[in-house]
Parts: sequence; C-alpha cells; structure tokens
Amino acid sequence: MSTTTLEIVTPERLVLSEAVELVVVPGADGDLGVRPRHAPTIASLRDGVVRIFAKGLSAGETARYQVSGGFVDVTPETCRVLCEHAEAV
Amino acid sequence: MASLKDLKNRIGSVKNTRKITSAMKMVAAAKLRRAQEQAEAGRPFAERMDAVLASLAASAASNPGAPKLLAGTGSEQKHLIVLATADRGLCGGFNAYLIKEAMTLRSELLAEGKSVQFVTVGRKARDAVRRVDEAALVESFIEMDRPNLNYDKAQEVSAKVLELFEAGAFDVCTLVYSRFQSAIAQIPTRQQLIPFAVPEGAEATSGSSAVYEYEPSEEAVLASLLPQNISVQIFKGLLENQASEQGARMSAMDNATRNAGEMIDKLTLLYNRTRQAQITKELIEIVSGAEAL
Repeated sequence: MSTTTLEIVTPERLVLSEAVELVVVPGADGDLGVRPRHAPTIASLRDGVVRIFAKGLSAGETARYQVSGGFVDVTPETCRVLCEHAEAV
Repeated sequence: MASLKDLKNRIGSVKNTRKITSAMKMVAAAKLRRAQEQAEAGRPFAERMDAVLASLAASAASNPGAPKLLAGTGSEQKHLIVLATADRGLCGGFNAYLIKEAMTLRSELLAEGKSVQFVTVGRKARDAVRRVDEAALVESFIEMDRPNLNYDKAQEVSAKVLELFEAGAFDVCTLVYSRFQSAIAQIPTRQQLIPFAVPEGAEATSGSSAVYEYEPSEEAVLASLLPQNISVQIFKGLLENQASEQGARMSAMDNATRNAGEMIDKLTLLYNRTRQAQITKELIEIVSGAEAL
C-alpha cells in the first residue's frame, strides 16, 4: 500500500520523518486520520497524541507522540505536524 | 630603559594572556558550530510557518475583521523595541553595534514624535538601555542561553510582548538582533514583529492556497498562528544572535591572539637587545678598569 511522508517538526528540531500508511492527529475539532492522497488541509491541533500506524490500521499502532501547540499541514504526499513541543510516548 | 627582570615579567604576562585568548577562541569556535547547528535545525519549522502565514495573511489582510496582530491597532504612535544582545563582552563590536542600531532607531522614532519602550534580552542590552533611558525599560531578560537556549525561553519573551500588546502598551513592535552571515560578518537587523509584515510576493503563493481546506476555519487558524509566529520569530532571532555572538567572539579572540604573538616577538627582541647592551657595558667597565691600573 502507498505511504505518505509524516514529518513532526518543532522550532528546535525535526523530530521525525517517516513514511507511514496512516496517521491520526488530534485536530482542534476532533481527531483527523491522514492517509496518502489526503486533500490539502491546514488544521490547528489541540494538545494531544499523534498516533502512527506505519503499516496500516490492521497492523496496529507503531508509535505515539505527545504534541502541544501547533497545526498540521497536509498535502497528498506529506503530512507535516508543526508544533511547539513533541515527545515520543 | 626597563630592566631585564621587568621585561621578562612582561613577556610572561603577555604569554599568559595569549593562552587565555587562544583558549577562548577554541571555546567560541566549538560553541559557534553548535549554535549554527541549532539555527539550522530550526529552519524547516520557520519556513513552513512563514509559507502558511504568508498565504493566510495575504487573503485575510483585506478583511475588516482581521486580527490586530496582523492589521495593527490603526495607530503607529507607540513603539516597542525588543533588543537582543549577549550577556557577556569580549566579543568585539558585537554588542556595541546592536545597541547602536537600536539607539539609532530610537532617535529616529523620537524625532518623529513617537514614544519608545524597550524589552531587552541580554545583560549588555539591559545596561545600555538603563544608561540612556531607565524609564523606557519595561522588562529585561538575562542568562537566556544558560544552560542552553530553547524555545521555552523565547516564549517567555513573546508572552511578555503579547501581554503588553493586549494591554495596549504599544502599536508597533520591532526586534533588533544580529543576523549571522559568517564568522566574521554579523549584520544588525531590524525586524517588524507586530503588526505582521506580509512578505513581498505573498500574492504569488495565494493562488495555490485556495485549494487548501482549513479546520476549524481560516480565521481560527490565523488567530492561533499569529501569536505563535511571534515566539518563532523571536526564537529565530535569538538563535541567529547566539551564532553571531560566538562568531564575533571567535574573530575577536583570533585577533587578540595574533596581537599577543606580535607583542611577544617585539618584547623578546627588546629583551635580547637589552641583555646584550648590558653585557657590552659590563665588558667596557672591566676593560677600562684594567686599563686604569
């Protein structure tokens, strides 16, 4: 299955850059699942957990990142999470 | 003429100075590399932020209900200068140039009949503003880079700036910092933080932004990004400043080390001359003493 490039960026560093099949980000209006070829979107985020399913939903969660204060910039090929703090949990 | 012992002491002390300056140069070089890496690491975030904000701002600026951080308060009477310098000296003209830049800006604004207030980062900036106009100093931050400079520190500054803005203490905010060009060139730079200056050529990108969907809404995203952008810009400024400071210190200490070397050469020459003159003098005394017999 195709993948989208997930990047988690803070002002201090690039936390993560990885090809994933699905990522769920905590949007301000509710969680947002991003798969490849997602419509271009910019959404603000609430403080919460970014859940990464690198091998698809059925293969289960592969990583979680606690993020706060930021937004997400989605294009069909990439998903960029820009936030003030990001920590693997 | 100085005695041999004096000269010897003098040479010894210059040698010690040279040791110190060359050690400081090494330390500055190591710190410079780290500062540059840090500035490099922060770039992707700032770039993305700029791109998104520019396209949002270009379309929102014309709206009557645009946020104040973007459109301004409608007046330009009260100015706030955020002046960032180093805590320490011994870095050439680094601090002096920044302070001069800020003071020039201050005089320009005062000449136009506007009021100026200061928020300072760094001990040198604080002291300079205190000397010139103590009443204008609203808040000062020192020791920002101890143990190391991070985003939270920049947020402290931006929180203060935003608090002042909400309270209506100023209309326009300018950040004065030193842009890092190379280890020997640092450029004191003014950057307008509030109201947000839409970069040139923003119209060109707004065409592509039309296809974006915004959640919850364009206005809400913009409203949350604008304050965040202040922190990001201040953080970027502080990072550049940090790299500039170390660069300035490195070249200042390099010069000092070289000068100390030259001084040692000169003093050693003088020392040897004096020593020979003394030997010659003693010989003449002995010879003339022997002749007198």
